[in-house]
Parts: sequence; structure tokens; C-alpha cells
Amino acid sequence: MNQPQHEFDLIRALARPLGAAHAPQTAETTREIRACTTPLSASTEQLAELCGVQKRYGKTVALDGVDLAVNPGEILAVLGPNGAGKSTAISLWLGLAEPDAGTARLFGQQPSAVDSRRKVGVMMQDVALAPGLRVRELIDLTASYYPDPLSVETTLAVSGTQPLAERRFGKLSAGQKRQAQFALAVCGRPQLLFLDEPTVGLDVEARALLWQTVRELRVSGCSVVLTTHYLEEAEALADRVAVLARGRLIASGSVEEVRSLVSRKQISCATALSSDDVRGWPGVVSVTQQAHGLHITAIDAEAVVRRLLAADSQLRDLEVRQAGLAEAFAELTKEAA
Amino acid sequence: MSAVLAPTSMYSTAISSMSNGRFLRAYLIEAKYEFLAALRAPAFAVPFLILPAAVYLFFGVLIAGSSKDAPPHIADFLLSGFAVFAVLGPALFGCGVGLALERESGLLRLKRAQPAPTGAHLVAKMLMAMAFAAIAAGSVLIAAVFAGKIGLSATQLLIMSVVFVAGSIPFSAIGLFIATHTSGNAAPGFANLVYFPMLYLSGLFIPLPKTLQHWTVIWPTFHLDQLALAAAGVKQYSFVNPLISAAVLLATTVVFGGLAIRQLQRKG
Repeated sequence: MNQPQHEFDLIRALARPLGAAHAPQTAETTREIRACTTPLSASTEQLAELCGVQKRYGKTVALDGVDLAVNPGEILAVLGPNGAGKSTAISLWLGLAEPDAGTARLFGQQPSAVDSRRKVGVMMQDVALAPGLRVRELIDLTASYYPDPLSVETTLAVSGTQPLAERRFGKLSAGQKRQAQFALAVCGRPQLLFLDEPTVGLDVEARALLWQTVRELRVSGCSVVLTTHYLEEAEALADRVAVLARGRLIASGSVEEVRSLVSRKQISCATALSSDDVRGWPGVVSVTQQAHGLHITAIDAEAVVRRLLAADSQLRDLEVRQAGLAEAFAELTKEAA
Repeated sequence: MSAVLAPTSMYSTAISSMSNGRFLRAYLIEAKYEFLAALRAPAFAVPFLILPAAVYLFFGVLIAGSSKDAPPHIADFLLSGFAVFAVLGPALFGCGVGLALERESGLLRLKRAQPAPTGAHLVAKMLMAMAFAAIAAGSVLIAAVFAGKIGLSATQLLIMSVVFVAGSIPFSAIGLFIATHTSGNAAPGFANLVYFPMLYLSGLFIPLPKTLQHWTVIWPTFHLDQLALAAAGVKQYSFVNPLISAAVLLATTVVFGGLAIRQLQRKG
């Protein structure tokens, strides 16, 4: 599996313990940008929605009062650690499970209604298709479920799977299988596409091709719901990001909005100062001693930088940057714990 | 790729209703690819397509058929028994083990998420089993015509063939019941647990002790054999009213098929 150089695994970013209790909604700003406040009666504008949805599996709370909607023409990235409730949300949208409380709707109907699912393309995780069938045949089979699908040749072209067309599914590599599954997801001319971890196992070229296709789908009027662990993917593709943690929607907004929820900045510099010198300064959240200097997380970065420069006139290699999505999610999920 | 995607209407004009023609086509394509997938799985296709005719030639023709003391019409009886053997395997294992593995691999879940017509996959499995039954039982019949000293006319053989192909449906229903009530790992075990008693305790081709002969009526395989023999007019080996046999096979289909569908609806 080839991974891009700067790819950051959300699982690692969220590896900090979240606490034992349900994640409470603590950040006021997080509440402010919740996506789904639309009542069901006004739901025709939204392609898919979860309103006040609760879902339990035994004693495990998978989703706890989640409001989340997919708007026409948008790419929504649903992010969160394993067990956050991402796959459960998709299952509810697709009618594969029913909420214990609240409402799930797809194109204004019950998700179990086959008419609404005929407008949807799906790429799921961990699905083994018939190993003896060729990619071309699998597309032909899946296209037969839709009223007005793309032709097999067009689907192969759109998904970049022409080289795999005559290969049997069981003989494909893991990445090639994902490409084939993507082809099946787009073959029905969907208005809404659900992609569950679509680029896991793809090499750089295949991933770039998939991203390009997803962007073109949006231009063509298709909305996309994307779950991913790759932050680069969300930043590159998504119009809106929804962050789930422990079954709760803890943030939803544009990439910039979610990032701005956490005002902390990262400061790196080469300095003779030690971490102990800096740790107690106002505005410093944490300090890490590195080989040639310090890595500081600060609330008031400007004040900290001024004091750093005053304390060490030889300070160099100063770098201040906004927290990336990884840090933003880590902070958000930590606050929610 | 951009050129291919250029028309903006390509993805934005999804319609949600299916014409009857497309609906029927979806069922047929599902059945076609189910059959192709099974045919391309050597571990499934080779034993179930070739073995029945080979076993029939060895036991039914070379050993039993060469006996000078053989009772009249024994060749017809053996032909029917081995044809039932040919019908049983693809139905029980193709529907039973195949579907159980597909449930476990998430394929059924994906098909539900995709708008696959309800029941298309189950119907495809049953049609695949019928096609395999036609090939395997047909091979036994052809072997019998050329080597088996049978006393059946072409019409009688044709009637028997129809019974055998249709007769795979109740065994597919049993297979679906196993698939929907067990895991992929357990399904082969349960299928074998049903397969061997149905094959050897229903008196298809192995003489049974008297105590067991009375119990043959409990096995659907016995009733398919009886129905085929009665339909072909082989009265010497007809032991029960063919209407009773047909009723047993119908009840087997309804009960096991119904339980399988109920389980699929409840748990997927």
C-alpha cells in the first residue's frame, strides 16, 4: 500500500484517551456550527439527513442524538476515530440499520425505500465481491440495478479502471479492488455518492485519479459523503467536515471553520531556551523539547513569540502555523471527552 | 477522463423508477453472473458437474448394471437415484455455503445498499442451482442412454429431466435456510450434516436394512426420486402416491424458503 508522503492518519492523531463517559458537548463554538438544525418538514432541500438519531448496539452507544445533513452539490467528509459512529451513520442513511430514536431520511423518504437508493452510489469497506467475475462483468451487474446507468465502457473510463476491465476481481490487489468498487459506485449515475474510506490501499496515482473523479462528480451535480482517516483527503476534497466522536457530532463546518474552532497555534524554533524555561509562560499550552529547539503549542502565539525573541536574541528557524486538521480534531475530541 | 465526464447531465439526471423490462433484465443478469461465478469456481463446479455422471457410470453401470441377477427396471431406478444425487449438491452447497459466505463477506449488505431488486440474488442462486442440476442430471441421463441398459423412452427421459430440474428448488430452500441461520464457517458442516443422510438414508441407490427402509419417507430426496420415477411411469419402483411426494417437496420449499426469507429480512 503506497501512502502519500504527507498523509496523516487520523487514528494516530486521535489516539489520546477520550475518557470513559459519553462525550459531552462542551465547546460552545462547536454547538454553534452544528449542521442539522433543519426540521424534517423542510427536508426536501437536503439529500440525506439524520435528525436526533440515536443508535445502540447492545450496551454500546453508536450514535447519540446526532443531527447531520447532506446538502445538494456538496462534498461532506465525515471524520472521526474508529468507533466514532461514522459507519453507523452511513448504515442509517442507506437503510441498512434503523435508528432507535430520531429520524433518518434519504431524498426525503425512508432510506429503506428502494426508489431513494436508486439515486445513490455506494462504496463500502470490507466487501468481497464474486472473485470469479471480471471487473467489466461486475459493472454490468451493478448497472442493471439502476434505471438509467452509464454504459460499462463509460464507467470504466470515468473510474480509470479500463486496465482492470478483463481481470477477475479475486485476482486484483487490494488497491485495485477499491478502484473496481469505486467504478461500481459511480455506474448508476448517482445523485449522492457514499464513499467509505475510498482510498485505503490506493497508490498515489490511483488516489489522485479518484479525487479528480470525485471533484468532477460534484461539478456534474453529484453530492458526496466521504468517510476517511486521511486528513489530506478531507482538506483536498471536502466542502464541509463533520467530526464524530463517541457517537456525537462534535463539530461540523468548512475545513477552515473546524480548524478555527481551535485557536491554538504551533510554534517551532531553534533556541538555547529549555522547555522548563518556557513551560510556565502565559499562553503556553505545552512544550516539547526537540533536538535543536522547542515545539510549543500556544493559545496566544504572538505574545509567546515576542517573549521568545526577547529571551533569546540568537533564536532562529522560527515557524508559526495554524493547527492542521489533525491537531484540531485532537483538541476537539479531547474537549469532548 | 475529463472529456468523459464533461456533460453535466451525466450524474444529475438520476431517475428512480425502473421499467418492468429493466426490472426483469436485472433478475436475468443477476442469474447469468451467478451461474458464471459458480462455473468459474473449480472447487464447486468440477465435483458437482462431473462427479455424478462418473459415479453413476462406475456404480450404476459397471457394478450394479453388469449383474445378471439384476431385477427388471433396476437400471431405471439407479438412473433416477444418481440423478437426484446430481441435483442435491449444487442446491445445498451452492445456495447454502455460497450464500452464507456472501453474507459474512458483506456482499448481501452491499446489495441491499445498492438498489438490487429484492430477492434477485436469492432467485439467481436458485436458478444457478437449477442450471447446475440440469447439466449434472443431464450428464447422468446421457451416460445412462449410452451405457445404462435403461428401458425408458426419450419422452420419459425428458419428463424425468423436468422433474429433476424443478426438484432442485426444495433443496435450494434448505440451502438458503442453512445459509441464513449459520455462519460462513459453520455452513459447510451443516450442509454436510444434511447432505449425507439425505443421500444415503433415502434409499436412492444403496440397499437399506429393513428398519431404515421405513424411514426413507422422511427425506425429501426420497420423494424427488419417487416423483421422477412416477412421472416417467416406472411403476415397479413407485412406493408412495406421487401427489404425496409433490406435497412434501412443496412443503419443504415453503417452510425452509419462508424461514430463510424471514431471517434475511430480520437480520440481513
